Amino acid sequence: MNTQFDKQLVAEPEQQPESLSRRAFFGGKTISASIATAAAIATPTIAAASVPGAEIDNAMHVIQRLTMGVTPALYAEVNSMGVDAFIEQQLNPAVLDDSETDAMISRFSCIHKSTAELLQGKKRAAIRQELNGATAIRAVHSRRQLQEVMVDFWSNHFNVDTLKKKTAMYKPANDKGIRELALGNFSDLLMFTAKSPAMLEYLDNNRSKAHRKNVPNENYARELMELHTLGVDGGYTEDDVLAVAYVLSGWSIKGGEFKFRPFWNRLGPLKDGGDVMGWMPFAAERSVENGESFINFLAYQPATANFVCWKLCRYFVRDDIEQYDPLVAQVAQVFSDNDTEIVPTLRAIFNSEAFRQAKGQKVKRGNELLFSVLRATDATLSLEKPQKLGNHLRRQLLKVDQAVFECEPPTGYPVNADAYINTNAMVNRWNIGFDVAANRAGKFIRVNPANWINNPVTTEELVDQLSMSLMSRQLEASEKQALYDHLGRAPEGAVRRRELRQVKTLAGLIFATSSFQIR
Amino acid sequence: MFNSKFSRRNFIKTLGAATALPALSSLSSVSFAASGQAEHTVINVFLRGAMDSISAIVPYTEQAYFDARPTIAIPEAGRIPLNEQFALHSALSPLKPLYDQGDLAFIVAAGLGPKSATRSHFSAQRRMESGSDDNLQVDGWMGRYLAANSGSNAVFRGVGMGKVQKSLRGYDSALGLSSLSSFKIKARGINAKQVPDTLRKLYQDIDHPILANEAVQTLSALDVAAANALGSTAKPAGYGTSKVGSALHQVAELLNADLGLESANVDFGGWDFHREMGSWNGGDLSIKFSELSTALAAFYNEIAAKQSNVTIVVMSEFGRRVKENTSGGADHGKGGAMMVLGAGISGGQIYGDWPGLAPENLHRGDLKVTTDYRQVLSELVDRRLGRPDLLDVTFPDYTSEQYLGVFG
Repeated sequence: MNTQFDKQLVAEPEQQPESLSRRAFFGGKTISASIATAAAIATPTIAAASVPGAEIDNAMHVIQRLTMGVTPALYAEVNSMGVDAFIEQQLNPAVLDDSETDAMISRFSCIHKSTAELLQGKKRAAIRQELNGATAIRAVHSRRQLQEVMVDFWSNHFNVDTLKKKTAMYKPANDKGIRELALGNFSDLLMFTAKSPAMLEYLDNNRSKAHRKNVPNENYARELMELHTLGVDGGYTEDDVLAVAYVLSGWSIKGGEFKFRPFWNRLGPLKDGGDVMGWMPFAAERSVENGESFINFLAYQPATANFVCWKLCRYFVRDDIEQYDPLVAQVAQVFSDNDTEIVPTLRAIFNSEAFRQAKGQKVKRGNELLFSVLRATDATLSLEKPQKLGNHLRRQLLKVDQAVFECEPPTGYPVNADAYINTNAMVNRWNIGFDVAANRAGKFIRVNPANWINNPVTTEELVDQLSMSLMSRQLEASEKQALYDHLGRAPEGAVRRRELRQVKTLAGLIFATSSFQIR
Repeated sequence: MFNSKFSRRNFIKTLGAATALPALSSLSSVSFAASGQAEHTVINVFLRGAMDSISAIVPYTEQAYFDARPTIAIPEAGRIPLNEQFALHSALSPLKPLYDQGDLAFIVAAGLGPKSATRSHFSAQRRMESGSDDNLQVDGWMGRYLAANSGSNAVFRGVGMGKVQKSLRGYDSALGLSSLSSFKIKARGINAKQVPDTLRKLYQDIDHPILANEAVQTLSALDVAAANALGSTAKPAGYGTSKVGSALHQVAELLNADLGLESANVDFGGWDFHREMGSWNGGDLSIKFSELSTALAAFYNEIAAKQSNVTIVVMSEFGRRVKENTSGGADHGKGGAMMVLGAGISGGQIYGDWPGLAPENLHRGDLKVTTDYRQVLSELVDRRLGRPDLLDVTFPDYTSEQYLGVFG
């Protein structure tokens, strides 16, 4: 974030909230004044009352769900513009100038090449490093935060593992398309992925032939219904899987682009009047239009609306929402009423009472945790050697089982905390904070702990300043006490050189708190 | 809100145990080993993605096999006959000595029973791990077994490698481990040694059940890992470089440290060969077989002293379609295979009724399931673990009429 913010020091954060820097946060009038007050009056109770509290307020809640992590600047910006305006801004990312992020992304060399060029180069490892690097840079720097959150969501929903076969070479184009459609229309997104070489390669439809005695490949047909649209209980049968495999036979790749091969296409069991959940082929055999029509049919099925919206609700609201919860039904209705448009669907979620009441109910996934640490620490992601940076970021993400686009099963990485929180994950999650804060996460990932504090006098000020910088809110009283104990200092004890030398560890401990690990 | 996983009573119990640990940690590692060697350890290796069982244990005398698989049938050069009906894929040859010495058994045409039959990977895995035909069963067979068999309070009783698999759910103290060598907190500098204690305080009395529970267990496990220098033994070369090899080596390390390990789950993914199984000699499927067999053999060797007290069960959610597809692979099927490894079992045999591969013997193109996977697991619980009293809780809606005799 330094590339963006270091250039300017803003005197009036209230007027230019979007460019408020951390230094401005400490130098700016309102907030620094309150910290000064807190410092002057040593009584902890008054100090606690004069800076934002430990609770997650509405602005904090919305930031934690719609972005990859809170920063003091963003928190001030949202408070200044209002929560509703922020939501609308994020739902309409085109209004946000993101040229600085784009300029950073342009420094990568592989991922901008055409698929045909990438197929010639076959630099799989370099492509994966760049995809990790570019995804992380966008997550950390992009002003279009909700778009990145949704890219993450759809990239898992339409999972492609770049470790399989040639998918790495196809993935940059697939990623670009998903980003363009992430806040667009679900049916467009579904059709895009269906014809995406990355998906055709990953789920084996590429060479699915049904002519003569050939038996088509069922893999994509099955996951299209089970994972992308209807859900496993969405009403299709085993016969339907086979029939759909026939309908989609010949959906293939040529020269890095989608290619329908009519010669391979047969209708199989649907040739003589059969149907799939009421859908029947309308065009002649060997027509791409049959498959297109069926995919559109799937996009508009009520089971699809339920399944996709259920997943969105668990993603944005709480892990334990049931598939037939009234909230899901309400959101699915909006999804269907709006032609599968994603923006009104998300708006319905964000406007719901369930969403408002779910403060702190999600546990950050591994990637969200790393990105939120990088955002909070104001880390510099150096683009001197972009692939190496990508490699460093990928290694960090691997530690929390979240390397970008490297999930082997087609389910994508899990949405629910009980699937990704375990013993080793806890340690790795804690270590991410310790490593980043101590500049041990890789040569091209750099933080400056001196920026997180501003001449604290007492131990309490030190802890408060750190938590305000890194979390934009205070720690719980018991958490603060644990940190005082860690330092072996009373809250009113003077900050000495010894305490300042422990800022990195204190930051790591703050990242390790449950307050930071949740969202 | 998180109560599907969270049990308050259990949480408080664990918390109590963990807060007692700082006092213990000054004692030698012997005190941790006091929880001791478990009576028996079950290692469940789950081949995710549906292992093509008829390429592994080839029904080489059946013409229907060759008719259905003109390009991917395993030819004579790639087969090691086990008996007059079946041959082992040559990439599994490291398992042959274990079979010959009677420590390894194969069960063919095994899998999910008719009530649970599905060709969805994820539904099939969930059901197989739950050990129940009830789709809503939230916990797993091994988790229920561990929870009911409450004799031990060892921290490392139930371990999932990579994550806590569904099969371990129901045992709230199960640990998920990915790398023992990196299983340590990386804070450095002044007061760094205090960090675990500070973390313990930071997670005390928090109201987030998942994080609270996991943090407490994690800190206990860190203490035990440090006291026993876990993650410090070198992986023997025989394992090769596969992920499953490194996971199994870590299980061996846990076993050899006598930490009271009763169950470990190891996932081995990447078996979903809808295409390009490849040549028997170096193709992608043969590479998977080779990784599996070398890792299992190296593991068995590394736990040489404990082979009588360990049972390794290898299973997969289902087998693959008998007829190959046009992409050089096969789609999802039904009947699969299981492997059971351990000293003292009735190995060196192939168990299970073989329904045959002729088209009229198939169910929708699939090998039929003649042995419910729970028939084997029930026999394991009853005869090998000696806990017939725990069969009902482990498999609440399944009772085996008879056993195959895998465990003697």
